[in-house]
Amino acid sequence: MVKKVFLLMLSAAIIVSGYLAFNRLNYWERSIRIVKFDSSQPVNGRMGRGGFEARGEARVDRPDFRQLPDSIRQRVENRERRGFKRPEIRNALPDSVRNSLSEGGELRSRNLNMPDSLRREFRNDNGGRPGFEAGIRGGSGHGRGNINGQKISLGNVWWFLAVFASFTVIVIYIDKLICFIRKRKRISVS
Amino acid sequence: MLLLMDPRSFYGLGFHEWAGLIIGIFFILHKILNWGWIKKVTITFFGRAPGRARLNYVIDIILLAGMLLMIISGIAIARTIDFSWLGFEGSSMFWRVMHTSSSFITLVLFGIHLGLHWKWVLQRFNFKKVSNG
Repeated sequence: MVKKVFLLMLSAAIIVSGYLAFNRLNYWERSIRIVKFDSSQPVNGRMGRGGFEARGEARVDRPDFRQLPDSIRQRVENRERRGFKRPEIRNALPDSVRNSLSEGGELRSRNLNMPDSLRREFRNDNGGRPGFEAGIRGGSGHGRGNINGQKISLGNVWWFLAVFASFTVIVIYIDKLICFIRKRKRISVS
Repeated sequence: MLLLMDPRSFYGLGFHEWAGLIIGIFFILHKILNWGWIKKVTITFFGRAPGRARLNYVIDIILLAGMLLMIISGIAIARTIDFSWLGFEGSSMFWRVMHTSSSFITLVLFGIHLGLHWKWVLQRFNFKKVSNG
């Protein structure tokens, strides 16, 4: 009897936490997003709470930087470098930034906007910045990759687990209910 | 394991992509190795089969579709592994949304799948005695 009550309470707790997780993760909206997806519309603003797909990036149809020919990639990089070499721009920069540029730190300062394939080519370390481990280029780091220096963050995992467990529990009890109803019908017929 | 596939949670995107690739390969291999059983069950589905078996089959088919979409969309949006040689068409945003949506739906389906097979799980781990007769 105690065991049954305990299991019932546990199941109720799982279902309640699953419901909360479902709302928190915006589960329904993110599940059916593909049905409502319209590639002709520009991507603006957030794609949804907590989503790690692109937020506000207006590069829906831009080719991946990696896929561009080398000549074009080099041209883009040189254009960026040239900007910083112009005297009027360099003189306007703070001393600390100017010094890091003159020490060959140009690429380090632009790491945030540089595709990770190029970043890996030019640098072996991350220059003290969090590693680009996950999510979107230039992401602020909240919920992406290293979080406060930690590589493991199980916050989201518990919410997903709650959703998963709640559906399992609901199906188990629906199954039990159907079995119970069938048994009662068989008894009433016999 | 699947829950740790969120790139924000466990060692980032690199782990997510490599582990996803390995799991995807094993998943496809598992289907290939059990192809005979799948064919038999499919024939039974279109023949005489109890309602419960049909429900399980439908859930499993949708689960299979979800997993395949996840694998394909994951390959299309991969960053740390270079799959550009496969030449996927379509915008990366589309594949990204597809990957998210399919993963969310598949997670729920796995929960339903586990719930439908719960008695088997309990019996398998001897938590529940099999009733005879």
